[in-house]
Amino acid sequence: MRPPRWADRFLQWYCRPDLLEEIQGDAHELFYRTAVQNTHKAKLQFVWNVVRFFKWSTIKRTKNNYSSIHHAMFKSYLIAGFRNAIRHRLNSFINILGLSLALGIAITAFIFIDSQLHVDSFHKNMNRIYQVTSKIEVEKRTEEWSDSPIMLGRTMLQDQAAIESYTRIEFGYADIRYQDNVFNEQLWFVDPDFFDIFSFPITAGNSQPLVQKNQVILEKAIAKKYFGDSNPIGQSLSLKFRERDKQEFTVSAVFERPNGSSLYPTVLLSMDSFNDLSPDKTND
Amino acid sequence: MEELILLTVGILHPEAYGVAVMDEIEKQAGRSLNISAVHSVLTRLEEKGFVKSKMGDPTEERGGRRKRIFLLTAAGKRALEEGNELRNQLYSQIPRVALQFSHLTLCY
Repeated sequence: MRPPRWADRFLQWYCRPDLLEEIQGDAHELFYRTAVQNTHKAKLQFVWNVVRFFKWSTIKRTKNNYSSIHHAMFKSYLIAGFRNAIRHRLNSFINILGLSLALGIAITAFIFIDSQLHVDSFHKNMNRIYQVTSKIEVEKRTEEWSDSPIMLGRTMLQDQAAIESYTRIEFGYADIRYQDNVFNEQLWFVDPDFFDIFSFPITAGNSQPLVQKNQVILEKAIAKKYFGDSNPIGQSLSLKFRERDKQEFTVSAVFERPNGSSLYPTVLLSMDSFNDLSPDKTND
Repeated sequence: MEELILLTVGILHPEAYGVAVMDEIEKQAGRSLNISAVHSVLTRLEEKGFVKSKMGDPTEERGGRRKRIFLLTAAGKRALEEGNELRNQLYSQIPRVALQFSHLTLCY
């Protein structure tokens, strides 16, 4: 008793060789099982199964592109490779060490160069910002200083048509106190256009803060130092400058210093405060 | 349908192959599937990574042909658990009235 020969041969003809064993095995098993009771039904069932198995996924392909990926071959390559490496330990070690060192150094170099090339790139007006320096003649040498006279900004704005705006930056120090936190901070005295020129993102407060006279703008980490996680906007800090009484300032905004910044502003105050503190240095 | 077959593969461990899965489903769920349908679902499950297959013992009365045995993978077990959990979760959200059909027949 055999299953219908022509159906069996048809199956062998169209079926993929790697699936043939199981498919033919199943079809035969079912045939013999039903043939015990009813041979006619078994034959019909066999033919029907052969027809149902005639699917795209089971048919032979013209090229060898059976999609079942057997990982055994890759595994054997890996094992042979490892065995080879273990056989010549010193050589392999030197090779692998050298390659990994080279790779690590190359990656580090790329990251470093990229970060250096993109210093300060977060400022939107980066290619229009210039720092005015001075060349001073001292004792028959010419020195270059990185600052310029304090009145230069306003004068240049008036005289030169190419200048759109300016900001001056003066430095100072003060003791700052909020409730129980007292620290000595570096201060930056700036002109109102500071945030138009430099694009430090504002994380709290009004989005375009002009630095008014009794207001202070804090950098995010410094705000956290004094106020923790509570909202510092509108809170009042007292600043004590050297040889002066303390003054109260209101926090109007908090800004953030992105990672690639070459400037490290901390606490921003208005240039008017500077003029008050050092009236001899300005001749308004 | 896939879940049904996946469950059956788990039940028949370690003797889960085409014909056995077909028989078990017929015995338990009363659905008579064609063997080729079972094969295609098993292949799909293997592609998804829910089952793993290997060739079984060659000593056979299938004319000496080996059968392909399917085993559940960890991902397959997880998929079954998640399916089961989801069904239970949804079932427990059905309001009690909708489930009590007997009351509806009393009042017309």
